Amino acid sequence: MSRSRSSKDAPPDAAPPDRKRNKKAQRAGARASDAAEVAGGVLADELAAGIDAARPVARRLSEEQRVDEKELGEVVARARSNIHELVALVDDRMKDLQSEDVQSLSNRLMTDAHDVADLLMDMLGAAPTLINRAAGTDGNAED
Amino acid sequence: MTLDEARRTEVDAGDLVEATLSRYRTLALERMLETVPADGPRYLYDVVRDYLQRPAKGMRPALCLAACGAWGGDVGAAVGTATAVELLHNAFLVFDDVQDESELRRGSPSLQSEYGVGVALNVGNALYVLAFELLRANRSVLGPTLTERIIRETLQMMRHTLEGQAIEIGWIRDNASNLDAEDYYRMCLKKTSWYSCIYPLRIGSLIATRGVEPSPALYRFGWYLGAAFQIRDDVLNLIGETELYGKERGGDLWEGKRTLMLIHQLQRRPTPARLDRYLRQTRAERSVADVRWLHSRMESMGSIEYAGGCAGTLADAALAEAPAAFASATDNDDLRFLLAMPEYVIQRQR
Repeated sequence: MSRSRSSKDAPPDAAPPDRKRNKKAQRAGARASDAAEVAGGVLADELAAGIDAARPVARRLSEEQRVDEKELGEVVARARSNIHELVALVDDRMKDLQSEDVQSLSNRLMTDAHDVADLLMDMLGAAPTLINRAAGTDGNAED
Repeated sequence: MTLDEARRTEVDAGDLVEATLSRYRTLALERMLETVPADGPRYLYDVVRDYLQRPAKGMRPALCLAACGAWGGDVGAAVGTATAVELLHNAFLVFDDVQDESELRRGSPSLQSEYGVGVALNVGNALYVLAFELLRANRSVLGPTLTERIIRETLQMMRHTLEGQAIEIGWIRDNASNLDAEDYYRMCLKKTSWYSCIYPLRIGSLIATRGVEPSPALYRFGWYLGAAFQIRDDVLNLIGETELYGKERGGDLWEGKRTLMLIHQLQRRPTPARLDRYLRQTRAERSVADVRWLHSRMESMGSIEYAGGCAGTLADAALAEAPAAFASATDNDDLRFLLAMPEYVIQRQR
């Protein structure tokens, strides 16, 4: 089943219209057999949401030469889990390719990668103050 | 364990699930009761203690502890975390009942029905505090890095839950009628599945492996399992025995909840004027006759059957993810319990 929906009557907090539109035709349907496909797409959307959330921060940095601390904090929180999943995905592929004698090395590398991802996220959390200070647009000065 | 092997063990799976739930529920309950202060105001802690002892399945701590055991971890080291999961679940239930004005919970009056909204809110907040005290106490057992990681996972889970709850309430408030299955699944992922399945499975695995990121397939296993669980819960709300189900039968209809069954109805055009009028009313304005009419319509038009079919499809999808999700796990009773859960959640009566 496929129906169109105007932005006016879209349910609150549904997925962004641009992302939904493309997938609607494939996913919309009231057949029980479609449930896993529709639900699987929803999870993929949610896990990818961190990437979408990063866009306003990048735009603000480019257009206004400043970083909104709260905005970035939200991105970091969402991106952290996605980064760990990305590392896990790479890990899965590596395990497919490698023989057993290098498994322990691979495991160590993956653990290090997760630690590095955490460190990166923590550093990002401190970034707004440094960037805004460097750009002379520290939010405190304007208050 | 392969998928075929998992299916061959289905005969004993029901007993294994019940036994595992019972064993882990006991562990979590004991720790919960130890956590409640013995010498605080009785107006708060007596109610907390009574509420925690109401009959419950204990699915969430069981998923956490079984995941830890399946990955070869020390289950004892995960009890504090699993207990925090159950405390948070209880807090969510208290707030959910206030928001939905539900009358029954676990076979007894909901907290706000029995003591009033003020007491219910205090109990819900106390449960949050007790849960985070347990998570913070993990430092001595799990170390600072893993403790911090679990707290981050917890905050992420709570955010999803809060967002899902907001979506559901917003739909009722705005009388959203142009919804489809995808909208329902998004709400369900956030409101139920993340905290009920994805989160306990992930943190159980993280504790066992000392922080190794689980396979992405575990997200999908948990998501499909949680969705099947929630849909079955919605179906039981219509067809379940109140004594077993423990909640107000038909409560979702009274509340106008956007379940898969109601969305199935709303997708049948044109929407009958009676349904349109019903959904525009508040809970207090709705009549027994209208609730019975909607229930009957859902039965006769196959909405309940459709939802049951979706739950079955999702349970199958969870099982299909199991080989990848648990590829690095150990073949033991904890793993067999986890593999039996998809079938259990769609067959359960309570």
